[in-house]
Amino acid sequence: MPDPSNNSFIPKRGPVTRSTRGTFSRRVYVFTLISYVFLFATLLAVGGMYFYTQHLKNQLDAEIVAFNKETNSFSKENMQKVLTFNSRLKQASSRLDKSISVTSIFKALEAATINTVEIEDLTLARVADEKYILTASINTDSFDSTIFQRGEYNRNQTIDQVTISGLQKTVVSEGNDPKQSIVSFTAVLDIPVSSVPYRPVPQTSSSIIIQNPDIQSIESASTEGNTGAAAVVNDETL
Amino acid sequence: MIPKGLFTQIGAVIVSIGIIVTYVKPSFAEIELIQNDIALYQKERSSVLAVNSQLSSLVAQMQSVSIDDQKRLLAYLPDKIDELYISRDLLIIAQSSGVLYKDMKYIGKEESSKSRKNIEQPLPEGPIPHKFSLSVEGTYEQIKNLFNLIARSNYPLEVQGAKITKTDGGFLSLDLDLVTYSFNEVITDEEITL
Repeated sequence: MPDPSNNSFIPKRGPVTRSTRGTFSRRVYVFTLISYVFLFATLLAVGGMYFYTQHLKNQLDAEIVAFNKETNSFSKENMQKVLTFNSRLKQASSRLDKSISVTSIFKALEAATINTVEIEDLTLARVADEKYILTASINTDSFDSTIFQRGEYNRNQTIDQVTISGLQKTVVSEGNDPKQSIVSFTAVLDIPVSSVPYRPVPQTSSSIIIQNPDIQSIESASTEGNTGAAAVVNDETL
Repeated sequence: MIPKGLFTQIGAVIVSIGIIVTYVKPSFAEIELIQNDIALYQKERSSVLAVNSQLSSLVAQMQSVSIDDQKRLLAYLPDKIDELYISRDLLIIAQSSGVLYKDMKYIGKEESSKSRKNIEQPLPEGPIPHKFSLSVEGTYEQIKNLFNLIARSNYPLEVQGAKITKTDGGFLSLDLDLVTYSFNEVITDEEITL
């Protein structure tokens, strides 16, 4: 049976073959990608750094302002007051720590002096803030007493060092009395300041109250009087 | 054949490198400097803050000392001594102890052992000593009483030297060197860094 389509006047076309259209394809190179990414990253970094720099500058300005404010709040006057007060306290403390009781020295001397000796004269000298040197001219009756006296001084806790010098024995006769021998010597005693500290005691009712000073006596007493401004508050109680 | 876009790409890279060299790198250095400055200012500000805080604390501590105690301190170590007051006090002490007053002198400022010998040496740090001499006569008990009263003074009267000798009639003669102090307003470096 013939194919009815072959009877058509329309020329017959062969089987449709799809023409291959040229597809638009662009070749992207790695270098292209890198270069554009590099450019945009650079521009982005520039923008970021600009703003970050501005931020840091603002922060620095704020810090400078805060620093100046803090330094301006520092009071030189207060600092001077505190330093002066501190210095005065330290100086007063240094003297107070080194203050001694001469009465304690006499008590120690009394305790260490035996009955058979007699002190003719006595000098006391302070050597810086370390010690007192007590020099006593002493008479006694025998060398035994001298030896015993030296031992007593050595045993005394207050006395640090004892030096006996100028030892001399003399014989004297007084009227009908038999001859008496006198042994004289000089004792030099070192007394450390630390061994005779002054311990303040609360004032008792016997404390001195200065109320009406005798002006005439004072004027005669102060031979080198200087009428400087009185910054001393010592006209109250002693 | 060289593609057209290659020149553009090379140009972009060159421009980027130019920007990095001329702007980004200096900006990094500038940022580093600013950050260092900020850190320095913060550190110094905290130091100043600490000093101010300590100063406030010390001022408060100083103000907490009672007026009486401040007066006592000022009496103990005055800015300047008044030899008239001290002479008067010594006379009253001598009279109160029972000794016979003979003589008194204000010798003056004593050369401290720490005094500087030339201007290059640091200033002495201790208080300024002032020397007085006192001569009295009395019994042993009276002289002991005198020393006791001197020690109880409300300002330092240090016995620098004493000479006791026998006199006629069983009395003792006492020559006394006394030292009192005034405040030496020298602030040392040690005190500044307290």
